[in-house]
Amino acid sequence: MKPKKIEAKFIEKILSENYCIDFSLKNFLVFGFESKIFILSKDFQKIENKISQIPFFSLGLYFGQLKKEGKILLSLEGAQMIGKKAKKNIAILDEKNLRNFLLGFNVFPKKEINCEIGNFILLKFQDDIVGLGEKKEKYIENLMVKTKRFNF
Amino acid sequence: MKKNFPPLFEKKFSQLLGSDFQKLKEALFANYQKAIRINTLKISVKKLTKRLEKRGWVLKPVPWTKEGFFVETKEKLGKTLEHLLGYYFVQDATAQIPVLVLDPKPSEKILDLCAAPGGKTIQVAQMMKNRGLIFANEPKRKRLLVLKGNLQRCGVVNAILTNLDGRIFWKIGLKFKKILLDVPCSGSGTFISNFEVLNFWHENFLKKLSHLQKNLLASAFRCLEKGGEIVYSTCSLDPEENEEVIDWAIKNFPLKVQKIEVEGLKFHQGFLEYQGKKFSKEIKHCLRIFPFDYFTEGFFITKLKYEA
Repeated sequence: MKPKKIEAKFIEKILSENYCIDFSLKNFLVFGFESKIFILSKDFQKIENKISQIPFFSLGLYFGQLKKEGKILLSLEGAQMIGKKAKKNIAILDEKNLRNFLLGFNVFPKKEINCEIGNFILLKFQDDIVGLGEKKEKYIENLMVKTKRFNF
Repeated sequence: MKKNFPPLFEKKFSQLLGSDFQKLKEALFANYQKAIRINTLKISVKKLTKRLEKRGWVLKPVPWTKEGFFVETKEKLGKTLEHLLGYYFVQDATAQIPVLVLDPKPSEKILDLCAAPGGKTIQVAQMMKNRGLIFANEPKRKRLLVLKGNLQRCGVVNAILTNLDGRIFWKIGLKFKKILLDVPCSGSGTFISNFEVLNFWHENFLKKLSHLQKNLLASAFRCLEKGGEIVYSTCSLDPEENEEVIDWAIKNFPLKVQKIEVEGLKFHQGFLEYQGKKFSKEIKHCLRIFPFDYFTEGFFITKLKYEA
C-alpha cells in the first residue's frame, strides 16, 4: 500500500489543540497509512520518485494514530518528542505509580495538568515521558503495549 | 562449569595464533566486559552517565567511542526504564567499531544490508543525527520485527526498512556511496559472552556461511557507486568468513582494501596466509580484535573501496 503524504500543519494543529504546544514538524515528511502517522527524514524527497520501485516494509518512525473527535494517540516516541513542552493533558507519576504503570496497571497520578476526561494523557516521571494513558473519572487507564511491560 | 574449545577449533587456532593461543584459551574463563552505547538521539552522554552513576552503576569509557561505556551493575541491562525509553542500546564495545569505520555523515544515503537486530543501524542514525537516509534490510521476518522495534524505541526517523534477500537487493536499482555489510556469521568470536555458540561451530557450517557471505558481498558491490565504500564485518574468528571472503572479493571486483585507523583502538592485522593458501598483501589492512584484547567479543572489520 502506498503511503499518503499528510500536511505537517494538520498534525501540528491537532497537537496544539490537545497538548497546548507549538510543535513543528517542518523538518520531517509526514505520512499516513490509514489513520497511522509516520514521520521520516526530509531527505526522502530525493528518492521519492523511486518509491514505487522499492518494496519497503516500513518508513521512518511511527508517530501516532488519529482518533475520533480530533484526538491523537501518540506512540511513546512521539510523546517523548513533544512531551517536554506540552502544557495540557499531562499527568505526573510518583515512583509507586510508575512501577504500577510499567507492570500494566491503571494509575493515580500525584498531579494532573489540565487533563480532559476521555483524552490521551502524557505520563511523566521526573524528567521522562514514560507512556500514555486515557483519562477516566478517577484514574488514568494504562495504554502501554503488553510487550513493553516489565518489573524493574 | 567446564569449558573447552572443540578439538578442530583448538587445532586450527593454535596453528594460526601461535603463542597467542594460550591467551585465547584463558579468555574462555575471563569476565566478559558488558557495554552499552548511549543513544544521543534521545539523551546526552553527560546526562545519562550522571543518572546511571547516581544509581550505583560503574561506567568506564570505551576508548574508541565517546558514546560507548563498559558497564558494571547488578541491574539487568535490558530491564531498566532507561532501556525502555531508548536512552541506551546494549552493544558489545567492539561491535561499535564498524560504524565508526563507515563514518556516515548527515547528508548521506547509507545501505545496511544485514541490519537486524539494529544496534549498528541505530549507531548509523546517531552519527547522521537522524538526517539523510538509511536503507535497513533484513530477510528474516522475525528478525525484521525486532529491528523495527529497536529502531522505533531509539527514535530513528531516517530509516526505510526492507525485507529482501540481501543477495538480490541490487535488483531494486538503488546505488549507495556507503554500505555497511555486517554479515551473518558463525559468531565464533563471541564465545566470551556466549560459550554455547561453539556448540554450533563446524567446518561444513563455515563453508556454507562463506558462500553466503561472498554472495552478499557481490550483491553489495552491485549496489555501490563508483568511489563508494563497503565496510564488511563479522564477529567470527574464522578466516573462511573473513580474510578468504575479502581476498575473493578483491580478486573478482574492482575493490581495494583501505587502511583503517580508529583512535584509541589497538588491533591485529588480517592473516596473510591460511592452510597453505597465501592471500593478497592488501589483507594486512584488515582489522582483527580477539576476545583476549579487551575481554570483548572478537571482531573482523574491512573497508573496501570501489576503484574504477
